[in-house]
Amino acid sequence: MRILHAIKTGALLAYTALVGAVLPGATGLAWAEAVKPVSSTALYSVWRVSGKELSAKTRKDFTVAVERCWNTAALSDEAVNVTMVIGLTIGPDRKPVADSLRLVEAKGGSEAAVQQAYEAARKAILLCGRRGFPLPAEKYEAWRELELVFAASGATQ
Amino acid sequence: MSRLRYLLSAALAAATLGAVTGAPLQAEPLRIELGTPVVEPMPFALPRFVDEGGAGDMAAEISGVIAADLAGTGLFEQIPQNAYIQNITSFDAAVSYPDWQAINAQALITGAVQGGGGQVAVKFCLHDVFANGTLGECLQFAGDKGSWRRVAHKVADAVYSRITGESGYFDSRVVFVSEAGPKNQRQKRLAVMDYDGANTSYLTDSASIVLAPRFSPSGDRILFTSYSSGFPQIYVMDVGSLSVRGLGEQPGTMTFAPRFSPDGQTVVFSLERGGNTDIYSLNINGGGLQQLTNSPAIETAPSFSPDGSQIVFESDRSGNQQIYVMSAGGGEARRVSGGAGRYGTPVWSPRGDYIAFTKQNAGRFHIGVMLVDGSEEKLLTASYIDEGPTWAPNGRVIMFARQEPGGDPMLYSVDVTGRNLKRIPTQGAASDPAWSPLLP
Repeated sequence: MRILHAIKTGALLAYTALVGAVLPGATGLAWAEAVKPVSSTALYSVWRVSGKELSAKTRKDFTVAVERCWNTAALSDEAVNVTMVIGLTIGPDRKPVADSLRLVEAKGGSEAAVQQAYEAARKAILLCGRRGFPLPAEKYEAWRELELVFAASGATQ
Repeated sequence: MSRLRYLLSAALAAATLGAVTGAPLQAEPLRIELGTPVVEPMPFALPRFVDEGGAGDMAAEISGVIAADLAGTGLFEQIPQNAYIQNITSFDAAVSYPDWQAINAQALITGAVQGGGGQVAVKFCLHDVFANGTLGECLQFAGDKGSWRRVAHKVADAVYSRITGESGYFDSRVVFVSEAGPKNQRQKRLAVMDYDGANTSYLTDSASIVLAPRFSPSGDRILFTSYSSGFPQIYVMDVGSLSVRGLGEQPGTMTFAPRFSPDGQTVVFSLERGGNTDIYSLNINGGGLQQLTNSPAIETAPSFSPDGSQIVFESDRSGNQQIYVMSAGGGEARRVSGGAGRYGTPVWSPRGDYIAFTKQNAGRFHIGVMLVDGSEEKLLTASYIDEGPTWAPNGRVIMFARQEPGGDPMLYSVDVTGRNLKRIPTQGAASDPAWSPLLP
């Protein structure tokens, strides 16, 4: 049996180990993987979609700007089917405040699937928001706090 | 004036409502719906792993295998190394996330390799570039130097699993029939390779024709059909010792198309007696022969459901080949295939959600999948001959044999969505692939 390590910030942490020797040329390999618990984030509720002061065109432009970075190719079928609401704050520079992103609600999948789906959605917001979203400065109070409903209905190739 | 009166009235009404409810009148965040994600490979960066001593070229080779595993899924796309801004020269060096964000790397894999004393150890971190941190804990895998490709596959499996939420399939092997020689004197022998076509080794010689190898659930045994006695009989091979013994030998019968039960204790197979073929089961130790079907039709290609409770098989009891499902103990079967054409070689997905099959219709062969009740049939491929699907351990990829007119059979894989069709490199012609479980 060989010692295996979980490493974090350069320090060795606890780990588990298994030994496998089952096929020709595959003897003597040992491996381990630290198991990280997934936080409890699955919340269920009925949602309300509101439409306040932003024009339809602004909302559409914003939607397209986020969707083009919302990539579900690497997600499991279960994660793709998760529907979730992510809350965030957008700064006056029209860029998302990274620390403000939070999962408000989610339904339609296991905790692991929600976690995967959340990561993809969060990445979309941060990636496509890094140069600022197309939002009108004069309506900052309308878009400063947003809740984005991610509900994949028609993934495009 | 009337507008002012309206605004004042509205303000008064709002204030009254606030007083009644006792709640502050805070604006709720604006909600915006998004419904159309893109489906395209996720860009990732994988700088060559750092050699921390004794690794030499192995550091680059391991990096290359990890990158090839991930990119080979079609779900990820490697950013060329000449686009990298930060040069990673130490595993412990701080990662400059803005440098990786600038080249649109959505995932970054950094690592180091130690290669002293006949051993290889690989430590790595998966970074969420836009969260400025690692995605999960950094890990280390270790093994004999000769197993360096397995160590690389383990790393790739861990990365794949963390990003997709599904188990990986890179550290697995495929047993298949290696073919050589002219078609009227074909030599066939069992071979085993890494899932990506590397590390081929041969398990039998070419003295007799072999067919349809199948891994046991633990990967330590292989069932197959051989003509070594002059007619088809099933055998079981111990992979470690390569020792072979016959199974269920019945005088005057032919046995073929064997497959293990999920617990590895039972074998289902076809037995031909007096011109009639039915499905039987047998204890792996050779006892407990049980007939599961009883029909004048040809019944063959049985495959267990992952929970072991059901068997899917093909039969021409309706007049042409179709797919049926019955209890693992036998009894009445229900037909699940319903489209035009002939269906064969059904295989239950390890996830239990789909049945993969070969379909022949209108002069073309297809590999397809359907839900276990036969609904939502999807044809993933079309060719002159496509046949013999086998599932990757995670149920997301299917490998099969393809033959073009006048050509030799070759192995291909395709994603269960129908994307990412690609040929698996083999040394010469190859058919009848069977995927192993994920290795321990």
